[in-house]
Amino acid sequence: MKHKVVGANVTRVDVKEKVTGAAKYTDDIQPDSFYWGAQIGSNVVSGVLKGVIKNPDFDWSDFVYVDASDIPGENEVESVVSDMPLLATKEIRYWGQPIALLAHRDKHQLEEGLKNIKIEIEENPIYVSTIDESLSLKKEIIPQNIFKKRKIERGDIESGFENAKYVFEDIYYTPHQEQMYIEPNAIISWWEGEKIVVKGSMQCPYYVQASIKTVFHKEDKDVEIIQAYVGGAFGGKEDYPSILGAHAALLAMKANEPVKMVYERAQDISITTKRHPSKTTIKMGFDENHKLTTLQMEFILDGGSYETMSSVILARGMLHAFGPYEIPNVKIDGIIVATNTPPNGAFRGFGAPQSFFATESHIDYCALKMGISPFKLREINFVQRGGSFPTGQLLENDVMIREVYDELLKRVNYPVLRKEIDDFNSLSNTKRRGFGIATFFHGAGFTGSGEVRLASIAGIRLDKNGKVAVLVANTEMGQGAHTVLSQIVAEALELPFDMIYMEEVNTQKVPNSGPTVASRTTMIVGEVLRRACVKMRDAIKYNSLDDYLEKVSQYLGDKESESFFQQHLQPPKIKWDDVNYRGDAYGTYAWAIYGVEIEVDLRSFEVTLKNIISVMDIGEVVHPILASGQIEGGIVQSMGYALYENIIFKNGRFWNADFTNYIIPSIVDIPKMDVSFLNNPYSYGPFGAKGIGELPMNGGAPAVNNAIKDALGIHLTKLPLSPEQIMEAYERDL
Amino acid sequence: MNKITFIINGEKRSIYVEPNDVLLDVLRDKLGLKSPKCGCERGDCGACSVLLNGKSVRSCLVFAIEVDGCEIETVEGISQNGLSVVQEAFIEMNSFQCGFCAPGVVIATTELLRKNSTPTKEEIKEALAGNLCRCTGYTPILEAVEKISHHNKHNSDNTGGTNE
Amino acid sequence: MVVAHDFLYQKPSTLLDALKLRAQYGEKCSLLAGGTDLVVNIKERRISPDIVIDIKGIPEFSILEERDGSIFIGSAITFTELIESPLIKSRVPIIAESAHTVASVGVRNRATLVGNICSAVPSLDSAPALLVYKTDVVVESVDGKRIIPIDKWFVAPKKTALQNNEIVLGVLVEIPNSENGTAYMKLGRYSGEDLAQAGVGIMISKNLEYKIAFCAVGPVPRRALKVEAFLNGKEFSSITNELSEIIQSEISPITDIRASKEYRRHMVDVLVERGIKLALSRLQGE
Repeated sequence: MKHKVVGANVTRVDVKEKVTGAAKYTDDIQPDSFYWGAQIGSNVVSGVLKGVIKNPDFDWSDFVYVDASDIPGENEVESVVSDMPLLATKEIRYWGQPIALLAHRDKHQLEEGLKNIKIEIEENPIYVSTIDESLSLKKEIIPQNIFKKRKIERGDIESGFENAKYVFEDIYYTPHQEQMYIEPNAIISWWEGEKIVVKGSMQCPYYVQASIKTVFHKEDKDVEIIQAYVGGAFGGKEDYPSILGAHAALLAMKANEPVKMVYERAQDISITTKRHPSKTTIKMGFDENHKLTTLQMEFILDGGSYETMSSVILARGMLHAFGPYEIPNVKIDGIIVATNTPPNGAFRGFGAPQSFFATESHIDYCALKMGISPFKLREINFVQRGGSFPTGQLLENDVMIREVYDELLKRVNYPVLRKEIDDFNSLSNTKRRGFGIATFFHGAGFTGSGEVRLASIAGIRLDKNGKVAVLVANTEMGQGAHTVLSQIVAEALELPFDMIYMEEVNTQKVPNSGPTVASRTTMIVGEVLRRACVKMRDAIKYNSLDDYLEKVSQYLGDKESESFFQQHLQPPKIKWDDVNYRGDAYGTYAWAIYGVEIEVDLRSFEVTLKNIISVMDIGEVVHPILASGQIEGGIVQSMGYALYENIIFKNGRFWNADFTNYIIPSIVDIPKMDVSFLNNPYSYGPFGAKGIGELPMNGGAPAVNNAIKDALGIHLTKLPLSPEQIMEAYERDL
Repeated sequence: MNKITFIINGEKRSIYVEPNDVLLDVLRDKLGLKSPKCGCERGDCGACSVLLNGKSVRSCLVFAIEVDGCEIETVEGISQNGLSVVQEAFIEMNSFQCGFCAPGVVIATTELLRKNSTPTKEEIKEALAGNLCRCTGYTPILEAVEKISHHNKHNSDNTGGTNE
Repeated sequence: MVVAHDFLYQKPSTLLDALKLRAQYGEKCSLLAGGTDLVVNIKERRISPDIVIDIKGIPEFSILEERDGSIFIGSAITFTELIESPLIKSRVPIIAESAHTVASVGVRNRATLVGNICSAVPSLDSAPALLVYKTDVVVESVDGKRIIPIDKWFVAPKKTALQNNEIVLGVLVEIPNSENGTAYMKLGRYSGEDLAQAGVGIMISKNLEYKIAFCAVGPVPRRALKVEAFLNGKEFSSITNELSEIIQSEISPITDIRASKEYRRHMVDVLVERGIKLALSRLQGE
């Protein structure tokens, strides 16, 4: 079927506001009178809070002060596991942990006030900052320092390894990664009578609503959450606004005026959520034909000091850890450990970039060890149509890994490229080139029965003038969701794109279509919307635009508008066993390959990215330019993860809490990129679309690692792939 | 309080500031010009860029009191008589995602093109090296500026041709 | 981020007025040119001056000109002005080359070379350039003028030879009288606006006289006199073990947030070799 609006590069619905400076981000909202709010955090890494002392000689009359005793409801941060207090009362588990809040109308005065508050904490000098320290039980934050364990099992790994001809094992490490959205976390809150209003930079308004309801013991109708323009999120504004929103609402409760809280960059880096550091021990067994028969893995994530939502990140990491391969014997143990660092949280990829780094690096390592090409090794082991994943999920026509692989080799003309690289390397004394690939996938939507539990509702509202408003709680954070969802509605209703507009994302105006996470917005919410459109077309039959306008007028009569809602329908056949981790973890997967060509300087060991080729199957592409933009942006983020990004600790704190020393790629660092899509439509996605947001983050780091391996013959196991690490390995292996 | 007088987006203004007021805060909070954004407060990210006497500066690294007698231009000024060529190109190429870095990129690009209407790819990269973007991978930004450059080059070549 | 600290602001229009203020406030006074370091330092509470003296109103500070075989760079001259100056490019090109590596356009439009050397952080890019030329820092107080040779200027990390009643007028860089080739080599973590992890300035004259200076690999930027002595009069092909030993004896890098000391040590050899080759090729190209 040929589409009209879906597949077209319409102009983004928000781009004009953004280039003219008219777009109002949270900090741009300036009520006539309001307070600036600030957080008072722990000044030690670990200890017991004894008290907060406000200087009695200081004039506190124009200040608003809040601590845990002011909380009307529960002192907890609503999450998958709500184990974190909103404001600490006793135990301090990380530097900067929120203890109290202060607000004043004047920023300068607020700073003065903060200087006159002293926190008294009985410091515990022993703390754990890393996974290995945590496992050593140098300090026990919780029993055994283990928040959660999970397991995926298939076949029998013991006999698998016994019968294997080749067995290789190694350990891989990845560090924290900071989302580094350019807009720091920001929220403004005010009360309207008994109703709490929170507006801000967030991905998931209904998460913030749940948080506020818990903290204030309020009903839905008394908590209104509104999304402002969001200056980047990448997962970093999935869970944190639940904390910041509740903080601002507490201050607003006592101030009787709006309270705005905008984090400074150093604070944002120091205390908000990051990508979980990981330690992955991986052992692979192959038979004499290089067929992968056995995989054993211990996948450990550093949850930080509270569990919060780490278990779902662990789950996704494990459910992508086996790679795009058919493996009969598998055992994956997943563990979340506790450390004295801020709780880690969501970041594009959600556990999968960590496990893919290990698996996709290890495959190339095994190929090197067995003396066969990593390409050939993949060809032998790719999961096929009709094959299955270790959870038992049967993959029918949905597998596209071989197709994206073949397409990549074709696009780069691999034999020619290989010769070019080999020729270059044989001539150059100072540089080595290499080409590496990583093959990967991403399951769109919530894991397992998550979407059934969410039971998202989305809708459309038909206005008198024939325009149609899209009613979703999913936020535009730059990814293009509002443009893409408008396209889907326009297509489904066969109306011009400019007749569709987005209703404000406000919990009192839009239904709970679920959080804007998990690459679910286009695929899951888009399909719910498409079905809502079908309802409207069942109610109003039209065959042309003029006809439509006339029929709308007849249909609505005296009414101003009519809304059509739809709840998410789980595609048939999807079965998931949450206890044993068996079944269909995701409705479908998007499939991808990166080919990365690099050049390594043999003296400085600096890696230059020359060319990155990406081939992906994301089903039907709703907006080719925006889709490419997602991929290019994701590639560059994953290159940062591969080469530069690293949180460095000093005395248990993040040392490089600024853009000067936490390096993200600049325009000068970007390689040539070639992004292309194969189109294998997904029957349960809107017009065949699948989710894409997180996919590009998954493959960058292992592809670069494999390219370095190809160039230098060295095997690296730690991110970032720094010149220091390359130098050490190169000189060791010589 | 000290009185300062300066030209902001073509309009002469006098305001009172404290010596420790930072230009970014004064533009945003006192003058209501919200296009310069605060991303890092220490000159690293480029989101707060404005043109000061025609040159792009980090407004988070300038005390407001320093701009007495100067001329300042923000994205509000650049847009006041309709979209500029730079803005139009960024819209056409869907150059931004979250858009938080966009005003700074518009400022840096405007400065570049006023100085050099036909920059090469390398010159564009150098001019924008201090404007961090976490969403786009920079490609659509780069392509939009290259497009303007090609267009300018083509036009000046044509003009050159007819004049000769 | 608000600046929580209060201070006075003065923008004198004559040098004498500035010197009087400086004498009056001494170490409680900060001098403001581009402000790219100063504003951050005040914001982040590393310094808390009673008064900030903005020197941009004093005409002498904005001079960039040739004077008797030298080039005077006034204290308010920005990196952008240096990059765009034909005089700098033709006579003391390494200054333009190193200025180009400082941060990015939006910072270079404001930041000054003199401000850079006054910050005296170990990683400052301007230092190796000035060190390989014969450079004097011209300072003045109410008591009179003083000339401080650049190799006596950097005393310790973040500490210079400037007395707390003095103001830097500018630097005077002698134009080398023999034909030479120069290069500034900087190691950055990435290609964006990064601070130097190691920097090497090199000047080689036609008669094979070498001038070499380092930054970011010791507490203060400095000339590598032993390396120069070893190289003088010699043709260069590549780093020998002997030369490397001398280089390594002249540096004392630390492991910090940006790079390990081992990697820095290794890279100084590489930068010296590459810098010499580049400078030689430029010399021959002339």
